Amino acid sequence: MEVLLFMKQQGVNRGEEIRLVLHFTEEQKMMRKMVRDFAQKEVAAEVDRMEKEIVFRKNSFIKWESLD
Amino acid sequence: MGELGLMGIPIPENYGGSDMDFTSYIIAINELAKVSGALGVILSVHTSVGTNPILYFGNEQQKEDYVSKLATGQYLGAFALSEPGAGSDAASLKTRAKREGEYYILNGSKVFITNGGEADIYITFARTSDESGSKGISAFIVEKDTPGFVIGKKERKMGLHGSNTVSLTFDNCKVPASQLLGVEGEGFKIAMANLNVGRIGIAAQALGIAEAALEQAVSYAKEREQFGKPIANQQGISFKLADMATQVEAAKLLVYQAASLVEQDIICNKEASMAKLFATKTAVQAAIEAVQVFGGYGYTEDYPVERFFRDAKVTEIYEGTNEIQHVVIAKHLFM
Repeated sequence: MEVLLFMKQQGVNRGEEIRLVLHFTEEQKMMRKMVRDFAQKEVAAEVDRMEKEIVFRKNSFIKWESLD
Repeated sequence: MGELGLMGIPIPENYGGSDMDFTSYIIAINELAKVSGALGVILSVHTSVGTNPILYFGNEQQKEDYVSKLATGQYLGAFALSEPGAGSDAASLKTRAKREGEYYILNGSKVFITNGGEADIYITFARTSDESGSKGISAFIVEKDTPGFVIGKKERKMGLHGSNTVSLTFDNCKVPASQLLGVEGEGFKIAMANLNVGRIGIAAQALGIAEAALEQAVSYAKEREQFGKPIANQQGISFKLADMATQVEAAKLLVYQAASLVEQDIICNKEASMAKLFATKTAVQAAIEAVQVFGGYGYTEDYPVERFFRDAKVTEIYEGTNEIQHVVIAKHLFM
Protein backbone atom coordinates (compact mmCIF):
# COMPACT_ATOMS: atom_id res chain seq x y z
CA MET A 1 0.00 0.00 0.00
CA GLU A 2 2.85 2.34 0.91
CA VAL A 3 4.41 1.67 -2.47
CA LEU A 4 1.19 2.61 -4.22
CA LEU A 5 0.98 5.83 -2.21
CA PHE A 6 4.60 6.63 -3.02
CA MET A 7 3.98 6.03 -6.71
CA LYS A 8 0.97 8.30 -6.68
CA GLN A 9 2.95 11.00 -4.88
CA GLN A 10 5.60 10.67 -7.54
CA GLY A 11 3.01 11.10 -10.23
CA VAL A 12 3.35 7.51 -11.36
CA ASN A 13 -0.18 6.38 -12.03
CA ARG A 14 0.00 4.51 -15.29
CA GLY A 15 -1.69 1.13 -15.23
CA GLU A 16 1.50 -0.76 -16.00
CA GLU A 17 3.19 0.32 -12.78
CA ILE A 18 0.17 0.09 -10.53
CA ARG A 19 -0.51 -3.47 -11.66
CA LEU A 20 2.74 -4.54 -10.03
CA VAL A 21 1.58 -3.63 -6.54
CA LEU A 22 0.44 -6.70 -4.64
CA HIS A 23 -2.19 -5.63 -2.19
CA PHE A 24 -5.00 -7.76 -0.80
CA THR A 25 -8.27 -6.24 0.34
CA GLU A 26 -9.64 -7.09 3.79
CA GLU A 27 -12.10 -9.48 2.13
CA GLN A 28 -9.29 -11.23 0.30
CA LYS A 29 -7.26 -11.49 3.50
CA MET A 30 -10.27 -13.09 5.19
CA MET A 31 -10.56 -15.58 2.35
CA ARG A 32 -6.86 -16.42 2.71
CA LYS A 33 -7.22 -17.00 6.44
CA MET A 34 -10.37 -19.07 6.08
CA VAL A 35 -8.88 -21.37 3.42
CA ARG A 36 -5.56 -21.59 5.22
CA ASP A 37 -7.31 -22.67 8.43
CA PHE A 38 -9.49 -25.15 6.57
CA ALA A 39 -6.51 -26.61 4.72
CA GLN A 40 -4.48 -27.00 7.88
CA LYS A 41 -7.28 -28.35 10.06
CA GLU A 42 -9.23 -30.51 7.65
CA VAL A 43 -7.25 -31.21 4.51
CA ALA A 44 -3.78 -31.85 5.95
CA ALA A 45 -5.08 -34.88 7.85
CA GLU A 46 -6.56 -36.34 4.66
CA VAL A 47 -3.57 -35.89 2.35
CA ASP A 48 -1.90 -39.18 3.24
CA ARG A 49 -5.14 -41.09 2.77
CA MET A 50 -5.73 -39.44 -0.61
CA GLU A 51 -2.19 -40.38 -1.64
CA LYS A 52 -2.56 -44.00 -0.59
CA GLU A 53 -6.00 -44.56 -2.03
CA ILE A 54 -4.90 -42.88 -5.25
CA VAL A 55 -8.38 -41.63 -5.75
CA PHE A 56 -10.50 -38.63 -5.03
CA ARG A 57 -13.94 -39.43 -3.75
CA LYS A 58 -16.67 -36.89 -3.85
CA ASN A 59 -18.13 -38.29 -0.63
CA SER A 60 -14.95 -37.25 1.17
CA PHE A 61 -15.53 -33.86 -0.27
CA ILE A 62 -19.08 -33.79 1.03
CA LYS A 63 -17.85 -34.97 4.39
CA TRP A 64 -15.43 -32.07 4.51
CA GLU A 65 -18.24 -29.89 3.38
CA SER A 66 -20.24 -30.78 6.48
CA LEU A 67 -17.44 -30.01 8.92
CA ASP A 68 -17.60 -26.79 10.87
CA MET B 1 -15.72 -26.86 0.94
CA GLY B 2 -19.21 -26.28 -0.34
CA GLU B 3 -20.31 -24.98 3.04
CA LEU B 4 -17.41 -22.58 3.11
CA GLY B 5 -18.49 -21.28 -0.28
CA LEU B 6 -15.29 -22.42 -1.96
CA MET B 7 -17.00 -24.26 -4.81
CA GLY B 8 -18.48 -21.08 -6.25
CA ILE B 9 -16.23 -18.24 -5.14
CA PRO B 10 -16.60 -16.03 -8.24
CA ILE B 11 -20.13 -17.17 -9.07
CA PRO B 12 -22.95 -14.61 -8.57
CA GLU B 13 -25.02 -14.97 -5.42
CA ASN B 14 -28.27 -15.51 -7.33
CA TYR B 15 -26.75 -18.74 -8.67
CA GLY B 16 -25.66 -19.92 -5.23
CA GLY B 17 -22.12 -18.59 -5.45
CA SER B 18 -20.11 -16.48 -3.04
CA ASP B 19 -20.01 -13.57 -5.50
CA MET B 20 -16.42 -12.72 -4.62
CA ASP B 21 -13.70 -11.33 -6.85
CA PHE B 22 -11.41 -13.40 -9.04
CA THR B 23 -8.38 -12.74 -6.85
CA SER B 24 -10.17 -14.34 -3.89
CA TYR B 25 -10.72 -17.43 -6.02
CA ILE B 26 -7.03 -17.51 -6.91
CA ILE B 27 -6.10 -17.08 -3.24
CA ALA B 28 -8.24 -20.11 -2.39
CA ILE B 29 -6.53 -22.33 -4.98
CA ASN B 30 -3.14 -21.03 -3.88
CA GLU B 31 -3.80 -21.81 -0.20
CA LEU B 32 -5.35 -25.23 -0.83
CA ALA B 33 -2.43 -26.24 -3.04
CA LYS B 34 0.06 -25.47 -0.28
CA VAL B 35 -1.43 -28.44 1.56
CA SER B 36 -2.86 -30.50 -1.29
CA GLY B 37 -1.97 -29.90 -4.92
CA ALA B 38 -4.79 -32.30 -5.78
CA LEU B 39 -7.47 -30.17 -4.14
CA GLY B 40 -6.02 -27.14 -5.88
CA VAL B 41 -6.60 -28.61 -9.33
CA ILE B 42 -9.97 -30.09 -8.37
CA LEU B 43 -11.23 -26.62 -7.43
CA SER B 44 -9.61 -24.96 -10.43
CA VAL B 45 -11.12 -27.35 -12.97
CA HIS B 46 -14.49 -27.41 -11.24
CA THR B 47 -14.80 -23.63 -11.35
CA SER B 48 -12.91 -22.36 -14.37
CA VAL B 49 -13.88 -24.96 -16.95
CA GLY B 50 -16.60 -26.98 -15.21
CA THR B 51 -18.86 -24.12 -14.10
CA ASN B 52 -17.89 -20.92 -15.92
CA PRO B 53 -18.84 -22.16 -19.42
CA ILE B 54 -22.43 -22.67 -18.26
CA LEU B 55 -22.48 -19.34 -16.44
CA TYR B 56 -21.17 -17.45 -19.46
CA PHE B 57 -22.69 -19.38 -22.36
CA GLY B 58 -25.63 -21.29 -20.93
CA ASN B 59 -29.25 -20.30 -21.33
CA GLU B 60 -31.29 -19.36 -18.27
CA GLN B 61 -32.67 -22.88 -17.87
CA GLN B 62 -29.18 -24.41 -17.96
CA LYS B 63 -27.94 -21.89 -15.42
CA GLU B 64 -30.86 -22.68 -13.13
CA ASP B 65 -30.40 -26.42 -13.55
CA TYR B 66 -26.64 -26.58 -13.05
CA VAL B 67 -24.84 -23.46 -11.85
CA SER B 68 -26.46 -23.37 -8.40
CA LYS B 69 -25.66 -27.04 -7.81
CA LEU B 70 -22.08 -26.54 -8.99
CA ALA B 71 -21.55 -23.36 -6.99
CA THR B 72 -22.67 -24.97 -3.76
CA GLY B 73 -20.68 -28.17 -4.23
CA GLN B 74 -23.74 -30.34 -4.69
CA TYR B 75 -22.38 -31.08 -8.17
CA LEU B 76 -18.79 -31.43 -9.24
CA GLY B 77 -17.85 -30.25 -12.73
CA ALA B 78 -15.39 -31.55 -15.34
CA PHE B 79 -14.21 -30.56 -18.81
CA ALA B 80 -13.89 -33.05 -21.65
CA LEU B 81 -11.84 -31.61 -24.49
CA SER B 82 -8.60 -33.62 -24.88
CA GLU B 83 -8.63 -36.76 -27.01
CA PRO B 84 -6.05 -39.44 -27.74
CA GLY B 85 -5.07 -37.58 -30.93
CA ALA B 86 -5.97 -34.04 -29.85
CA GLY B 87 -3.99 -32.60 -26.98
CA SER B 88 -2.32 -29.24 -27.57
CA ASP B 89 -3.99 -29.23 -31.00
CA ALA B 90 -7.43 -29.39 -29.42
CA ALA B 91 -9.21 -28.25 -32.58
CA SER B 92 -8.35 -31.54 -34.25
CA LEU B 93 -10.74 -33.44 -32.00
CA LYS B 94 -12.69 -36.28 -33.60
CA THR B 95 -15.61 -36.97 -31.27
CA ARG B 96 -18.80 -36.60 -33.31
CA ALA B 97 -22.25 -35.35 -32.34
CA LYS B 98 -25.06 -36.07 -34.77
CA ARG B 99 -28.46 -34.47 -34.35
CA GLU B 100 -31.33 -36.98 -34.34
CA GLY B 101 -34.64 -35.38 -33.48
CA GLU B 102 -34.54 -34.00 -29.95
CA TYR B 103 -31.15 -35.57 -29.20
CA TYR B 104 -27.52 -35.43 -30.22
CA ILE B 105 -25.82 -38.80 -30.51
CA LEU B 106 -22.20 -38.56 -29.40
CA ASN B 107 -19.48 -41.03 -30.40
CA GLY B 108 -15.80 -40.83 -29.57
CA SER B 109 -13.42 -40.79 -26.66
CA LYS B 110 -11.72 -38.34 -24.34
CA VAL B 111 -8.58 -38.64 -22.24
CA PHE B 112 -7.00 -37.09 -19.15
CA ILE B 113 -10.26 -35.82 -17.72
CA THR B 114 -9.67 -34.24 -14.31
CA ASN B 115 -12.45 -34.90 -11.75
CA GLY B 116 -13.62 -37.70 -14.06
CA GLY B 117 -15.60 -40.45 -12.39
CA GLU B 118 -16.64 -38.23 -9.51
CA ALA B 119 -17.99 -35.33 -11.53
CA ASP B 120 -21.72 -34.97 -12.08
CA ILE B 121 -21.52 -33.03 -15.33
CA TYR B 122 -18.96 -32.88 -18.13
CA ILE B 123 -18.59 -29.91 -20.47
CA THR B 124 -17.97 -31.97 -23.59
CA PHE B 125 -16.79 -30.91 -27.02
CA ALA B 126 -17.73 -32.72 -30.21
CA ARG B 127 -17.80 -32.07 -33.92
CA THR B 128 -21.29 -31.35 -35.28
CA SER B 129 -20.29 -30.72 -38.89
CA ASP B 130 -17.63 -31.77 -41.35
CA GLU B 131 -15.86 -28.43 -41.27
CA SER B 132 -12.23 -28.80 -40.31
CA GLY B 133 -10.29 -27.26 -37.44
CA SER B 134 -12.04 -25.18 -34.84
CA LYS B 135 -15.15 -24.69 -36.98
CA GLY B 136 -18.02 -27.09 -36.51
CA ILE B 137 -17.21 -27.94 -32.90
CA SER B 138 -20.07 -27.73 -30.41
CA ALA B 139 -20.21 -27.87 -26.61
CA PHE B 140 -22.59 -29.99 -24.56
CA ILE B 141 -23.44 -30.43 -20.91
CA VAL B 142 -23.31 -34.20 -20.43
CA GLU B 143 -24.67 -35.62 -17.20
CA LYS B 144 -22.87 -38.61 -15.69
CA ASP B 145 -25.88 -40.92 -16.00
CA THR B 146 -26.53 -40.23 -19.68
CA PRO B 147 -27.04 -43.50 -21.64
CA GLY B 148 -23.90 -44.36 -23.64
CA PHE B 149 -21.61 -42.29 -21.43
CA VAL B 150 -18.89 -44.57 -20.08
CA ILE B 151 -16.25 -43.74 -17.49
CA GLY B 152 -13.08 -45.47 -18.61
CA LYS B 153 -9.65 -46.21 -17.29
CA LYS B 154 -8.47 -44.38 -14.20
CA GLU B 155 -4.94 -43.19 -14.87
CA ARG B 156 -2.21 -44.20 -12.44
CA LYS B 157 -0.23 -41.02 -12.35
CA MET B 158 3.15 -39.90 -11.11
CA GLY B 159 1.54 -37.36 -8.78
CA LEU B 160 -1.67 -35.63 -7.79
CA HIS B 161 -2.93 -38.96 -6.50
CA GLY B 162 -5.82 -37.30 -4.73
CA SER B 163 -7.26 -36.07 -8.02
CA ASN B 164 -9.05 -38.40 -10.41
CA THR B 165 -7.97 -38.51 -14.03
CA VAL B 166 -9.92 -40.81 -16.33
CA SER B 167 -10.70 -41.50 -19.95
CA LEU B 168 -14.27 -41.28 -21.24
CA THR B 169 -16.09 -43.11 -24.00
CA PHE B 170 -19.19 -41.86 -25.77
CA ASP B 171 -20.88 -44.90 -27.26
CA ASN B 172 -23.99 -43.66 -29.04
CA CYS B 173 -24.36 -41.37 -26.06
CA LYS B 174 -27.83 -39.85 -26.23
CA VAL B 175 -27.66 -36.24 -25.10
CA PRO B 176 -30.87 -34.15 -25.12
CA ALA B 177 -30.64 -31.27 -27.61
CA SER B 178 -31.46 -28.94 -24.72
CA GLN B 179 -27.98 -29.75 -23.36
CA LEU B 180 -26.26 -27.96 -26.25
CA LEU B 181 -24.23 -25.17 -24.69
CA GLY B 182 -24.27 -21.92 -26.63
CA VAL B 183 -24.60 -21.97 -30.40
CA GLU B 184 -24.07 -25.11 -32.50
CA GLY B 185 -20.70 -24.94 -34.28
CA GLU B 186 -19.28 -22.35 -31.93
CA GLY B 187 -18.14 -24.63 -29.15
CA PHE B 188 -14.48 -23.99 -29.68
CA LYS B 189 -14.98 -20.38 -28.62
CA ILE B 190 -16.41 -21.70 -25.36
CA ALA B 191 -13.38 -23.95 -24.93
CA MET B 192 -11.02 -21.05 -25.47
CA ALA B 193 -13.00 -18.43 -23.55
CA ASN B 194 -11.92 -19.64 -20.15
CA LEU B 195 -8.33 -20.43 -21.01
CA ASN B 196 -6.87 -17.48 -19.16
CA VAL B 197 -8.93 -18.16 -16.08
CA GLY B 198 -7.88 -21.81 -16.17
CA ARG B 199 -4.23 -21.00 -16.70
CA ILE B 200 -4.09 -18.55 -13.82
CA GLY B 201 -5.79 -21.17 -11.66
CA ILE B 202 -3.09 -23.72 -12.44
CA ALA B 203 -0.44 -21.04 -11.94
CA ALA B 204 -1.90 -20.48 -8.46
CA GLN B 205 -1.84 -24.21 -7.80
CA ALA B 206 1.82 -24.34 -8.85
CA LEU B 207 2.60 -21.32 -6.70
CA GLY B 208 1.09 -23.10 -3.70
CA ILE B 209 3.25 -26.18 -4.29
CA ALA B 210 6.36 -23.99 -4.67
CA GLU B 211 5.60 -22.07 -1.48
CA ALA B 212 5.07 -25.31 0.44
CA ALA B 213 8.36 -26.72 -0.88
CA LEU B 214 10.21 -23.57 0.17
CA GLU B 215 8.60 -23.56 3.61
CA GLN B 216 9.51 -27.19 4.22
CA ALA B 217 13.07 -26.70 2.96
CA VAL B 218 13.67 -23.64 5.17
CA SER B 219 12.23 -25.37 8.21
CA TYR B 220 14.31 -28.50 7.67
CA ALA B 221 17.49 -26.53 6.96
CA LYS B 222 17.15 -24.81 10.32
CA GLU B 223 16.79 -28.13 12.18
CA ARG B 224 19.16 -30.43 10.35
CA GLU B 225 22.72 -30.21 11.62
CA GLN B 226 25.84 -31.31 9.74
CA PHE B 227 29.45 -30.42 10.49
CA GLY B 228 28.33 -29.11 13.89
CA LYS B 229 25.82 -26.53 12.69
CA PRO B 230 22.43 -26.29 11.00
CA ILE B 231 22.70 -26.79 7.25
CA ALA B 232 20.92 -23.42 6.88
CA ASN B 233 24.26 -21.93 7.94
CA GLN B 234 26.04 -23.65 5.05
CA GLN B 235 26.25 -21.29 2.14
CA GLY B 236 25.55 -24.06 -0.37
CA ILE B 237 22.12 -24.50 1.23
CA SER B 238 21.33 -20.90 2.19
CA PHE B 239 22.04 -19.64 -1.32
CA LYS B 240 19.83 -22.37 -2.73
CA LEU B 241 17.02 -21.28 -0.40
CA ALA B 242 17.58 -17.65 -1.35
CA ASP B 243 17.17 -18.54 -5.02
CA MET B 244 14.03 -20.52 -4.29
CA ALA B 245 12.54 -17.64 -2.31
CA THR B 246 13.28 -15.19 -5.12
CA GLN B 247 11.65 -17.41 -7.72
CA VAL B 248 8.61 -17.94 -5.52
CA GLU B 249 8.21 -14.22 -4.94
CA ALA B 250 8.47 -13.48 -8.66
CA ALA B 251 5.90 -16.19 -9.42
CA LYS B 252 3.56 -14.74 -6.83
CA LEU B 253 3.73 -11.30 -8.44
CA LEU B 254 3.03 -12.71 -11.90
CA VAL B 255 0.11 -14.84 -10.68
CA TYR B 256 -1.60 -12.05 -8.77
CA GLN B 257 -0.90 -9.49 -11.47
CA ALA B 258 -2.65 -11.75 -13.98
CA ALA B 259 -5.54 -12.26 -11.54
CA SER B 260 -5.84 -8.52 -11.10
CA LEU B 261 -6.03 -8.03 -14.87
CA VAL B 262 -8.84 -10.58 -15.18
CA GLU B 263 -10.67 -8.78 -12.40
CA GLN B 264 -10.35 -5.50 -14.28
CA ASP B 265 -11.58 -7.12 -17.51
CA ILE B 266 -8.26 -6.35 -19.19
CA ILE B 267 -7.22 -8.75 -21.94
CA CYS B 268 -4.32 -10.68 -20.48
CA ASN B 269 -3.50 -13.70 -22.64
CA LYS B 270 0.20 -12.88 -22.45
CA GLU B 271 0.22 -12.23 -18.71
CA ALA B 272 -1.81 -15.38 -17.98
CA SER B 273 0.61 -17.45 -20.04
CA MET B 274 3.61 -15.82 -18.37
CA ALA B 275 2.14 -16.52 -14.93
CA LYS B 276 1.43 -20.14 -15.85
CA LEU B 277 4.83 -20.67 -17.45
CA PHE B 278 6.85 -19.11 -14.67
CA ALA B 279 4.88 -20.39 -11.68
CA THR B 280 4.88 -23.97 -12.93
CA LYS B 281 8.60 -23.92 -13.71
CA THR B 282 9.16 -22.46 -10.26
CA ALA B 283 7.10 -25.23 -8.66
CA VAL B 284 9.14 -27.95 -10.35
CA GLN B 285 12.44 -26.27 -9.55
CA ALA B 286 11.51 -25.49 -5.95
CA ALA B 287 10.36 -29.07 -5.39
CA ILE B 288 13.59 -30.47 -6.86
CA GLU B 289 15.68 -28.18 -4.67
CA ALA B 290 13.60 -29.00 -1.60
CA VAL B 291 14.31 -32.71 -2.13
CA GLN B 292 17.99 -31.80 -2.42
CA VAL B 293 17.94 -29.83 0.85
CA PHE B 294 16.35 -32.83 2.60
CA GLY B 295 19.04 -35.11 1.13
CA GLY B 296 18.27 -38.83 1.40
CA TYR B 297 15.22 -38.15 3.57
CA GLY B 298 13.75 -36.04 0.80
CA TYR B 299 13.67 -39.09 -1.42
CA THR B 300 11.48 -40.99 1.03
CA GLU B 301 7.74 -40.83 1.58
CA ASP B 302 8.36 -39.81 5.19
CA TYR B 303 8.51 -36.17 4.12
CA PRO B 304 6.16 -34.30 1.81
CA VAL B 305 8.80 -32.88 -0.52
CA GLU B 306 8.85 -35.99 -2.73
CA ARG B 307 5.09 -35.50 -3.18
CA PHE B 308 5.60 -31.86 -4.11
CA PHE B 309 8.11 -33.01 -6.71
CA ARG B 310 5.64 -35.50 -8.22
CA ASP B 311 2.70 -33.11 -7.99
CA ALA B 312 4.56 -30.16 -9.52
CA LYS B 313 5.52 -31.79 -12.81
CA VAL B 314 2.06 -32.03 -14.32
CA THR B 315 1.46 -28.30 -13.85
CA GLU B 316 3.88 -27.80 -16.73
CA ILE B 317 1.76 -30.10 -18.88
CA TYR B 318 -1.95 -29.54 -18.34
CA GLU B 319 -4.10 -26.47 -19.02
CA GLY B 320 -1.87 -25.77 -22.01
CA THR B 321 1.65 -27.20 -21.97
CA ASN B 322 4.46 -24.78 -21.24
CA GLU B 323 5.47 -25.08 -24.89
CA ILE B 324 2.04 -23.65 -25.76
CA GLN B 325 2.57 -20.85 -23.22
CA HIS B 326 5.82 -20.02 -25.02
CA VAL B 327 3.90 -19.85 -28.30
CA VAL B 328 1.34 -17.45 -26.82
CA ILE B 329 3.97 -15.20 -25.25
CA ALA B 330 6.18 -15.19 -28.36
CA LYS B 331 3.18 -14.29 -30.53
CA HIS B 332 2.60 -11.17 -28.41
CA LEU B 333 6.20 -10.08 -28.87
CA PHE B 334 5.64 -9.69 -32.60
CA MET B 335 2.14 -8.21 -32.62
